[in-house]
Amino acid sequence: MSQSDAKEVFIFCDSCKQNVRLKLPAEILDKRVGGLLSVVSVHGTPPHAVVAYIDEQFRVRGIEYPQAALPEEPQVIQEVSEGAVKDLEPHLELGLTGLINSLAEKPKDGVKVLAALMVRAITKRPVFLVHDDPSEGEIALRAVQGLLSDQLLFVTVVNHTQVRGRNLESACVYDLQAKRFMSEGPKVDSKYFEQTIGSLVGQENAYSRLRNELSKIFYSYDRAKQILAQATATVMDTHLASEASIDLMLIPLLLEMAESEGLKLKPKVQQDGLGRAIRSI
Amino acid sequence: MFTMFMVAYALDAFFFFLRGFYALESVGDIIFWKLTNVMYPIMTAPLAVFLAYPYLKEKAGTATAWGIRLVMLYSLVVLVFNITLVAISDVSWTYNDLYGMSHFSLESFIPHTYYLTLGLVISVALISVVFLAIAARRETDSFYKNRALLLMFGWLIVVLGQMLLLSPVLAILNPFVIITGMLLLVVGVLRTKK
Repeated sequence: MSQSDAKEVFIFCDSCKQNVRLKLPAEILDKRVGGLLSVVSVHGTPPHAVVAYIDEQFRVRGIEYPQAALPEEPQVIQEVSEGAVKDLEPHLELGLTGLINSLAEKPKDGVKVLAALMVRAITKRPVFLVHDDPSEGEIALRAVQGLLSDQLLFVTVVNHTQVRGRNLESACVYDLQAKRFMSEGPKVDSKYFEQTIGSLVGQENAYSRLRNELSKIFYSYDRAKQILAQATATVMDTHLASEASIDLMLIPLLLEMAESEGLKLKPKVQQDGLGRAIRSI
Repeated sequence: MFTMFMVAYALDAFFFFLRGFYALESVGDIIFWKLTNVMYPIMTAPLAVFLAYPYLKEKAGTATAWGIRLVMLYSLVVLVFNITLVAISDVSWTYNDLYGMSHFSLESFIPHTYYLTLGLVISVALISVVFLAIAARRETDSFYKNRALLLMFGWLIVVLGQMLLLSPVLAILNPFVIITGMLLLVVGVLRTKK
């Protein structure tokens, strides 16, 4: 198997809260029984396992967590007979479609709102969801927090009394009842997320897949930090995107994430104008 | 800008095609020959500007930025100058090639008008080649590096092919060279990343 024939799939392991990269040979699909390929990844310290169910387009359709992993050879990908797919969506009060519908009247607007909220939460800008019924607000909050794993501190539910009379300019405040922004805060580019969420709406396991996409961003962010920490000169943004396995248009987001953590990485990244021109053709 | 380049290229090919419907050295033949010459700067200048502008933004605040601005201004001046000169110049017949196509030259108050217009267009085309070479040299992603190389060599071959028309003897090679260059350009544009 050549390197170029291998497909890379990322899965997010809830146990170690890390992205796990699986390199699967293209011909492995020929060995699947039924519609999905089940792949076990044993990783981490102490070793633990996660089973991913992957379709023919190499998309992750489901994840299982065995209660015990006793590897003889750690870090070996093995095939196991197909088990039941754990459908994550029914276990959530709101799947992706439910979350989008709870945010706006029209799904298209809901996608834009969710994208805007996610970008702000990822870049550690405070996000307030306003609802006078705490239980309703908590449902939406849990759905958003579930997508963003450890971004717990920056998304909170408040009621209208708590926001009345306050200066909301710097914060992102969204009224879940009126389904509109009370304050958007500083402008951010959420186009990529709008496209990503829009492409997942209506698909199976959309919530899990969106969470997977977001976890890739966090993985790429960690990679970008490592690359820039070791760099002795400025790095082209096209090169950084390639090394961090992320779309070029997300590099500004990664740099914003670093800013919000107090890391000055922007001066280390140089915009590659000609590279962008070549990519735009 | 790149779309403008592609449309201009397609139009240029279309005008060449339309020349075939007219008798050699007829009014229609001459008009469409002039139109193809008008299209040369319309093709080359947008491509040069398309590549120069993002490079200008990258180099903003440096001395290189002034050089790039001059290059962009030069491309636009050549665009306007060439279109004007082609429009106002007289046309004189030079030769008919083995494929049955007439070749002409431009004459005006400026000496060697035709060679001047061609030389200016070639200089603008070579600006694009330089930018593509810079892009190819520093690109680390092999897919985009190959794209830059395909576009660079394709464009260089097309420019060379056009220069062959200046010689009645070498003009016979023009279609082969142009098509080779075009194929490289097409492959460079249409290849998709897996």
